[in-house]
Parts: sequence; structure tokens; C-alpha cells
Amino acid sequence: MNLSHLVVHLQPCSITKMPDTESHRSNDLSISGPTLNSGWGRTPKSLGKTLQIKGGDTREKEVELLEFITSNDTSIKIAPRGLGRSYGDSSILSSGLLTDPNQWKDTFDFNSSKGTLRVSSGFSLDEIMRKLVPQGYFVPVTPGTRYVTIGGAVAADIHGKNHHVDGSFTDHTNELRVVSPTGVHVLKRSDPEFKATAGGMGLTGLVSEAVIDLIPISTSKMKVTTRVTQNIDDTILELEENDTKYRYSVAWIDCMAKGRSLGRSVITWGEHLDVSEFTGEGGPCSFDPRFLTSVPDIAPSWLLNRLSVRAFNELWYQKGKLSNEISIESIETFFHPLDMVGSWNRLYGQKGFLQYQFVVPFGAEDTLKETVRLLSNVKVPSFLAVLKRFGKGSGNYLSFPSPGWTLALDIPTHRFGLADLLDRLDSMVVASGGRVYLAKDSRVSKHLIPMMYPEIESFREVAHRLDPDNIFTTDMSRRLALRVDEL
Amino acid sequence: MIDANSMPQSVAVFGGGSEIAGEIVKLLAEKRCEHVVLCGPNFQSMEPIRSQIQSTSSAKVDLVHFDLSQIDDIEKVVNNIFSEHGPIDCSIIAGGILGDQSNDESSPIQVAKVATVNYVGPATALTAIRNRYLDQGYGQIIVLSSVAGERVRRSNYIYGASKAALDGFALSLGESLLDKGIYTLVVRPGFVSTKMTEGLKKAPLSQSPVQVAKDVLKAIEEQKELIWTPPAMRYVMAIYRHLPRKIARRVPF
Ligand SMILES: Cc1cc2nc3c(=O)[nH]c(=O)nc-3n(C[C@H](O)[C@H](O)[C@H](O)COP(=O)(O)OP(=O)(O)OC[C@H]3O[C@@H](n4cnc5c(N)ncnc54)[C@H](O)[C@@H]3O)c2cc1C
Repeated sequence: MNLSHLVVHLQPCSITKMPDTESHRSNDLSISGPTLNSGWGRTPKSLGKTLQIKGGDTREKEVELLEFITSNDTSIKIAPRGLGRSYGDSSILSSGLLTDPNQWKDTFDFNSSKGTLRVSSGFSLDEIMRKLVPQGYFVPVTPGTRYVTIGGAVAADIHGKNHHVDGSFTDHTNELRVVSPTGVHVLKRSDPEFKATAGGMGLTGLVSEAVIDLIPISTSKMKVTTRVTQNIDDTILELEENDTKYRYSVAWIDCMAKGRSLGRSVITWGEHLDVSEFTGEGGPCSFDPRFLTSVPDIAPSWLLNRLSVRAFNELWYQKGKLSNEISIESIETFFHPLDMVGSWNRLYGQKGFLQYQFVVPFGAEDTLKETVRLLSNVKVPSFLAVLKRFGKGSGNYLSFPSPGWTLALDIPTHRFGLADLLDRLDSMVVASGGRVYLAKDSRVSKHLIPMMYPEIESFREVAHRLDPDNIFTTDMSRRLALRVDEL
Repeated sequence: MIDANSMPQSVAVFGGGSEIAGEIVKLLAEKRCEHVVLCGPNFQSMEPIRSQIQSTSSAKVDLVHFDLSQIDDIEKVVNNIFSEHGPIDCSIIAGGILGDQSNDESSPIQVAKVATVNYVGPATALTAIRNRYLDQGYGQIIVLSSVAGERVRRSNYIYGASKAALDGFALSLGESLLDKGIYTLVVRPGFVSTKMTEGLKKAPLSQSPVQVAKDVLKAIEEQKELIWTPPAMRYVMAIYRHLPRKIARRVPF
């Protein structure tokens, strides 16, 4: 007689339990919480605790973390967390432990002869820029916000406005140190473990340190070329013809414009300004971005309605029309305009929002146009959508960028019909050979993942080798069955 | 897990024979739900619901013995459901009995039975579920209440009072869980044509379980905390609730 099913009955500890705060206290290790956590979109949310590792430097902490992992039973789960700028559930873990980026800020070795930086994973791009821009160096890739950590930049293999020229973040990462349950691994770009960790959404272990290439700049200013387009065809043509002439390129589509104006955009192209053209006050490399204001937590969800957003988009478009074709801007206004408003994610109210971002290959322009049309038709207020052309992919198993068109836009959630609309867009994207960006996702169907990410099997295999007991996971990984044990 | 549109991947129905819950689960299984646990006292009434769910989706459906009248066992059974079939993303409280007002009025034990199955059992189960959710770190709750609980009427006060109690309990439980990220929806259907109401005279605004389920799905996606179905019922009840007792007594439903 098989009694194994009874054993489960009799063992109350097989119920999922919050990790115990008291039992894991050592001098340098403590667990706090639980707190209610979410990504930047504030939905979904889950309760999880935070693992704190104090004292020593990054090398010592690596050993402590490894000891903690190997001395506990495998029911304790860990999710690496950075600054929580991923939109969905990729850096939260219900009933598990989140790491704290503030504890991974010890190493900061800038090598000026090589132009490289060895840096602990908890440093943000903001901190790095504040230290190094005045010395004439810039990060190789920056997203639309400076408030992302090195760990998050590696795990999502982030892209910036220069992807068509420079590729993604880990194309400029020469070495990674990763704490996995099997040990502290030092990885080079050609290693399969590197390919699984870069873009691997925190599922192979905690990235503790990275060595990245920096790019030399002679000023902290950008020389910006602005062009306004009339409609989507015009936008596509402009980008196809002129992208390669500039290092940085992006189009902001007004998704509330319809009919003949459907897809009208403001395109901005940029280059780092050479010091020979610099005329401003202060040092050419001065860099000290400030907050203009911060949004309080009580902002009601109706604040953003179709009218207020339409007005904003109109303003943006008219401003684009008026601006000089060539202008000089600061790094922060060119790359990170949203960072000037603190906690702007609260604008969407308590119910939160999501960002839908996909890439479709070149040749699938019809799909691109159809998605813009469908998104412009829905009764949801949406600010500007960002359109850009990607260059070559990095070859990492789960990295998002691949040659083609990428479109990203924010949409308030918890509106009837949104789930179905996005499912419909997913089908179109997959049918044309595209994919959605995991760092932004909070709702895609798990059944589409193997079609969007054909190398997921290699990823699962390597992740399993590094972490055979599936200790590293996230709510996203459970939702999408990214790890082999979650299938 | 639950996604940004509030769509769960696994659902447990407490009162697994409920036709309304069956329709809700069918719709959820067309979205992200792939595992359903039907929990009820009577496998015979759950089997047809299982085959219906499986005829329109590939969801896995498990049946578990669960009895709202056995209050001493409820916590243990809920815990077992979570440990054996968990994680459970969404719990639907759907069990209940109508009773027979005219017969039960004089029967203390029948009154106790209706109150137990409709209120004491569900409140016990909800409390056990709440505890499991706090450990699990997330979850959502859907409680099928009734407009009958909004203003208890002479013609079915035994049932109505039990639903009034459940309704109040669920709304406040939901409030207490808000800052824990656990979302609760209370559904107040009007007259629904089901096995339970077979033979009863149809009340105004009566509807089918499918219609109720559609309203529930919309409410989940919109993350509403309380809905009436059909939506117009809300206004009917708002008026009815404010009628003076003398007049309310004479309203014929
Ligand atoms: C306004 C805004 C604009 C954005 N623009 C862009 C853009 O232009 N291009 C782009 O690519 N992205 C963009 N993003 C997304 C953002 O760059 C990524 O989500 C990034 O991963 C966030 O970093 P984070 O430090 O906040 O990490 P989190 O959001 O905390 O975590 C993201 C992922 O990284 C993992 N992770 C974090 N730290 C570690 C670590 N030490 N070791 C291992 N894994 C780790 C987490 O587990 C999780 O899977 C934008 C986001 C916002 C809010």
C-alpha cells in the first residue's frame, strides 16, 4: 500500500510559510519584514521579507550569502532585487526573501587607462554617472531612468537609445561575479553561465559585481536633432533613413492621435556634444541632476484621463514642432526626462499600470502599424509610446533585443477589456516572430514564452546547473514557469 | 500567480457544486487559470461541473471533500487543500443553502443549519484562507453573497440574515487585507435561475449563472470590491433599503 500521500497530510510544515525572522539571525545576517512589494507598475503585489547582509565588503558578503543558502533547507527562496524599476513581478517573491541593493555597494574601481569600472551590483547608474560624468566618462547603455542598479541592468540586459549602434548593456560587460547555490562564479561573456545570467532576470543567482566598459565623453551635453512626423509611415521612413547617422535615436508616438495623424511622432536623435562645440557656463562635464517635484501617494486614479493625457500629448507634439531642428540638451533632459518627477508611478493611482513593450522583426512593419492602430483605438489614456529600431541581439538566452522595431507604452491597469486586447496584440507579435520584454511584463501568457524566447531550454538547463534546487526564483518566474522546476 | 489584470492561475471553489462558481471558473480557465480545485460535500454535484470546465479548457480539475457544516474540520481541510494543491491564487466562497422558510421558521435546528452553512462555515473557511494567504504572500477572495442580505425580508429572513452576516464579514475582512495586497470581491446577485432556486417564482431582474459570471469577471479585472449583478440591482436595492418598514413589508418579493 502506498502511504506517501498520507505523509503530506500529517506534515503541517508542507504549507508555504513566510521565512522565519528569528531563526536565521546571525551577526551579519538578518531578515526583516514582511513588506508588501511590487514593481514600478504597482501591480501585482505580494508579501515578502528582505534579507540583510551587513558588514565586510562585497567578497565577504558573497561568502556569507553562500553560507546562508547552503546551510538552510531548500524551501527558502530568494529573489535578487535592485531598485524595483522593472514594471511587473520580476523582482518580487511572495513568501520569499528579497535581497537589498544597498548592501551591495562596496566595490567601485575605476580604471582610467582601460576605461573600465569594476562595480558592486547595488550601485545605480545615477550614482555611477554622478561620480564619472564629471571625469569625462559615460555608461555604455542607459535606459529611460538612471535609477536602475547594475544588477538590474545585467539581469534585464537593458537597452538604450543607442541599441542600433552599440547593442545592449551586457555587450559592454566583461565579467560577472554571481553567487549561486553552487558557489561564487566568475563569468566571461562566452560562458554559457554568462549567457544565462545576462538577461536571466535574477534566476541564476545574485550578481554581486560586474566589470563594465565606459565610454569617454568630452562634455555632459547632448547635441540633439528633432524632427516631427505627420503619421506612422512618415515615422517609419524617417527612422529607416536617418537612424544610422546618429548614436542615439528614438521616436515618441502620440498614441491618442487618430485617422490621418495616426502614429504622428517627435523623433529625437542625439550625439554627445564635443567640447569644441561647447559654449555654456560651468565645466563642460558638470553633472548634478535635481528633482523638480514628487508625486504624493494620494493621487487618485482618475487624474489621468483621456482628456488630460490628450492635452499633454498635444503639448508635447507642438513643442516638438516648435523646437529648433538642432539644440543642445543636458544628459538628464535627453535621456531621463521622467526622473525629474519623483515617484511619478503614483500618477496612475493605487490600481497601478503596466508597460507593454514588444519587438517585431524588420519586415513586420504592417504588424507594427496595426498595433499602433489598435492601441490608439482603445479607450485608455496613454501617454507617448516610444518607438525605436534595434540592432543586433546579444546572443544571451533570454535577452530581449533583436533586430527590428520595438514599441513601448504605459497603460493603466484594471480596466475591462485590457487583458483581451493585450492577448490579441501578443498573438500578432508572436505570429510575426516577435516577443515581449520580460522586464516590463506582468501579464503575458506562459504558453507564449517558448515561442517568444526559443532559447529558453538552454536557459533552463544552465540555470538548473547553477541552482539545482530552484532557490532563486521570482513571482514572474513562477507565473511564466521560467525555471525548469516550475513547469 | 495572479497577473496585473487580476487573472489567477489556480482557483479553489468552496462549495464546488455551485453552478455560478462553475461558470466563473469556466471563464477564468479561458484566461490564465490552469488548475481548479472543487471542494464540496457531494462529488456527484461536482462531477458535471468538472466535465464542463474540461470541455472548454485544458485546466486540471481536482475534487476534494469539504463540508461547510462540519465547522470543526474546516481549518484542517483548508490547510490540506493549500498544502496538497497550493498555491491557491483565488478562493471562491460559493457554498450555501436556501432552506425552506415556512417550514424552518419553527425549527431551531433547521435555523442553525442554514446559519451554519451560509455564515458560520464560510466565515470559518475565510479565516483559514486568510491565514494561508498571509503565509503564501498573496491571494484573492471572491464571496458570493446575495441581495437578500442587504435588507432582510420577512419572506426569507432565515436565509437573508445568514447572507447579511456573511456579506458584512466579507466586506470587512476585505478591508483588513487591503494593505496586505490581498484582494476581496463581494458579489451580490439578485435572483439567479439555478438548481437551488428551481421551483421558486422568478423575481424581477432574474438572470442566469453565465450572466453573473460575466459580471464577476469584469469586476475582477476592474478590481472592484463590491458588485451587484445585474448592475441595476444596486439601484433597486438602494431604494428598497430605504423604504420605511411598513411599506417594505408590502413589497411582493
Ligand atoms: C521610467 C523607466 C524607463 C525605463 N526605460 C528602459 C529602457 O529604456 N530600456 C530598458 O531596457 N529598460 C528600461 N526600463 C526598465 C529597467 O531598466 C529594468 O527593469 C531594470 O532591470 C531595472 O533595474 P532595477 O535595479 O530597478 O531592478 P529590479 O526592477 O529591482 O529587478 C529587475 C530584475 O533584475 C533582477 N536583479 C536585480 N538585481 C539583481 C542582482 N544583483 N543580481 C541578479 N539579478 C538581479 C531582479 O531579480 C529582476 O528580475 C525602464 C524602467 C522605468 C521605470
